This record gives sequence, structure tokens and C-alpha cells, in this order.
Amino acid sequence: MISVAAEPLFSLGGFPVTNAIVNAWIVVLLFTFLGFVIRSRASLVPKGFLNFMDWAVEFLLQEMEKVTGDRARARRFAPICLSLFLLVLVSNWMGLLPGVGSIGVHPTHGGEDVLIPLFRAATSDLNFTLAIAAFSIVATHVFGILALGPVAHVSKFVKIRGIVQALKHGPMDVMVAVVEFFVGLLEIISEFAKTLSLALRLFGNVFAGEVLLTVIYSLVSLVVPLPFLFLELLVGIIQATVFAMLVLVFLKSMTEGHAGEDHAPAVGAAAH
Amino acid sequence: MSTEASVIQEATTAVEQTGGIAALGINGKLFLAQLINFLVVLLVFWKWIYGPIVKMLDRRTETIERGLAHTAELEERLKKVEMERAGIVAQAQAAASNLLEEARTERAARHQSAAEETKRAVASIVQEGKHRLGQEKERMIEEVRAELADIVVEATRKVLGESMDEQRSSALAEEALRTVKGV
Repeated sequence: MISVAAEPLFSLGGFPVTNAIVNAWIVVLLFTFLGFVIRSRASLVPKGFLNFMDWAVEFLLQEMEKVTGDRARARRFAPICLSLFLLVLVSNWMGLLPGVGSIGVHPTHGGEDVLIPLFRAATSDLNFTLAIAAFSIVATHVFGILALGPVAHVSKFVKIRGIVQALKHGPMDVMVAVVEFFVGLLEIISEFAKTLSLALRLFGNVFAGEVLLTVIYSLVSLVVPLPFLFLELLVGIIQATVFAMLVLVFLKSMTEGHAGEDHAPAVGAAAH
Repeated sequence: MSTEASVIQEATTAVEQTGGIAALGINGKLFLAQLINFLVVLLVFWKWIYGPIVKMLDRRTETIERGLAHTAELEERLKKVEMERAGIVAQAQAAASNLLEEARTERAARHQSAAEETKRAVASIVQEGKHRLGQEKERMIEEVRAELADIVVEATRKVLGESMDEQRSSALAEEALRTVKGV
């Protein structure tokens, strides 16, 4: 039986240390080590792993440029989108490592022997996916305010200016402006929906993968789970790409005027 | 249908028992901790991974662009030098050709003047030779005439037996000479 919530392993001064947060800390340490290595060895003529990292960053920037349409914005959004992509990817794939989800403690709960794994993919914890989704949506608004100015940005959601302008033209325009005002309010709700959608999509896919693998492993332990394992590898990279790409599209639409707004829902819907 | 309803009922009861959103594991402290985890990763990635790599990419691009610009500049300079060289060679060829032409003209002029001088010298030598020949001829004729006069006088003396005087013999010799001249 897999719990939807990450299982707490122990308490640290009132803070519940869960198996998912242990994995998240491992990922943070991994990134810190990687960052330390790259920072200390960065050179004009890279070798080995650094060469690969150079290529990867260049390639990902080019892919981002296809979405943003210009290099400057791709480079501005890259730190957020790439760190999201890599963090989600590494977290997803770490959940597939042997021992993750299977090695743990066996306390007795209600007379039954229950397995509490020591490690669990960070992305299969809703706290993690919700945290990165909330951060991403807040970041889109920050970038939007920085790009358009606070008034223009807020006007996207609270369209009072439209009503005032429509008063000069006639009752039909006022009606349209009122409708647009309510559409703007719906946009505010959609921002929360976006956050939830981002968080639940990632959590749902990774958690479902874990459940699937656990079921398969419990049925047949050898050979049979292999295709599913490869499938989960694929799901891991696809979900990381979808998450980062959606955030990139949201960032792009938030930093543009009204013309660019209708792209985001289409991409968001396609990702479902 | 009844099974579905019981499952929904069980789920609802479970959610109610665990406090709704807590059933999904949502916890304020954990949310904050995961947010901090992400922020650490973002910072590390931004400052230690993305930053240095992008800086290197920029430096590399700059170096390549500078190299290409330098190469273009060198090629341009090479073209200019090549053009200058071609110009200098053309100028030198033109100058050499002029010099050659001048030398040819001068040689022809010198040749002509030398030939004319030679002709003049030859003509002068011939003239002088003719003059000398004429003088020699005159002198020889004079000598022959004198000798002939002597011979005539002697012959006459021999024929007349030395009876004739000096004045008469000279007159005879003069007569004989006139005859000889007339011949």
C-alpha cells in the first residue's frame, strides 16, 4: 500500500522529516556538488563532462528561444526554467533507483506490518510539486510586472480601465467591457488553477508511475518490470519537459501584452 | 454501482477523518521546506552552473567573432597588399618596357649616327685618297715629262752630234713634250 502523502520518518524539533524531503535534500546536495565542480572547472576550452554541460545549456537555450522568439528573453527565463527542468528530472529519475520506495522501516500499525520507505521521489510529494508550481506562477507575475509595469500587468486581470473607456462610446461597448471585466476576474481564478494544474499533473504522473511499478514488482520481480521502468524513465523526462515548458510559456505570455495571452491555455490544455 | 458508491463513501470518510487537504500530504512546514529546497537549487544552478557556463559561452562566441573579424581584416589587408603588389609589378613592367623602348630607340639612333659618321669618314678617306692620287699622278707626270725631256734632249744630242746649242735643244724638248701631251 502506497500512501498518497509522503511518510514522516522522524521529527526534527517539531519538523516532520519525510522520505520525500530526504530525497529532495539529496538532490539539493547533488546540485550543490555539481555547481561547485562546474564553477571551479569552467574554462574556455571545456573537457569531458563540462563539455557536455556546455552543449546541454546551449541546446536548451536554443530550444527555449524557439518558444520565446528571442534570445534575450530565453536567457532571462533560463535559470528558472532550466533549474525546474533539471530538478524535476533528477527527482523523477531518482525515484526509479533501486532501493527508493523498497528499502525502509517496518513498524506495526494496527497489528499490521507496514513498510515506510526511507526514500521517495521528491516529485511524488504534493508539497514539493505545489511549492515549485506556486513559485513558478509567482515568478511569472514578477517577470510580468518587471516587463510591462505594475499598472499594465494588473490591468490584465482587473479591467476597470476598459469600462471607463467604454462609457464614452455607448451602452454596447459598456456591456462588452463589463463582460471583459468578469473575464479578467476569471483570469485571476485561472492563475490558481494553473498552479494546481502544474502541481497535480506532475504529482499525479510520478505517483501513478510509482504505484504502477510497485504493483508490477509485487506481481513479477524479474524482467517484466523492465519495460515499465523504461516507460517511467520516459515519463520522467516528459513530465520535466512539460513542467518547464509550461512555465516558460506562462513567463512568455505574462511578459507580453494582450496579444500573446491566448497561447498559454492552448499549450496547457495540450499537456493534459 | 454499489461498489463505486462504497468506494466514494470510504474515500470521503477517509478525507474527513484526516482533515481534507491533509490526506494529500499538504503540510505548511513541508511546503516551505520544499520551497526552500527549490530556491537553493535555483540559486546554485543560477550562480554556479548556468552563470559560469553562459559566461564561457559568451566569451567563446566573442573570441570566435573576434577571430573571424581578425581573419576578415587580414584577408582584406592581404587583398590590398595583393592589389598593391599587382600595381607595383604593373608599374615596374611598364617602366621596364619604357626603358627597353628607349634603349631600342637610342640604339637605333646611335647605330644610324655611327653609320653616317662611318660613311662620312669613308667618304673623307676616299676623297683624300683621290686627292693624293691626283697629286701623285701630277707629280709622276711631271717627273715623266722631265725625264722624257731629258731623254729627247739626249737623243737629239746623240743624233745631231752635239752640234746644237743649249737653247735649241731646250726648244726641241719643249716641242717633243707638247707632242707627248697631245698624244
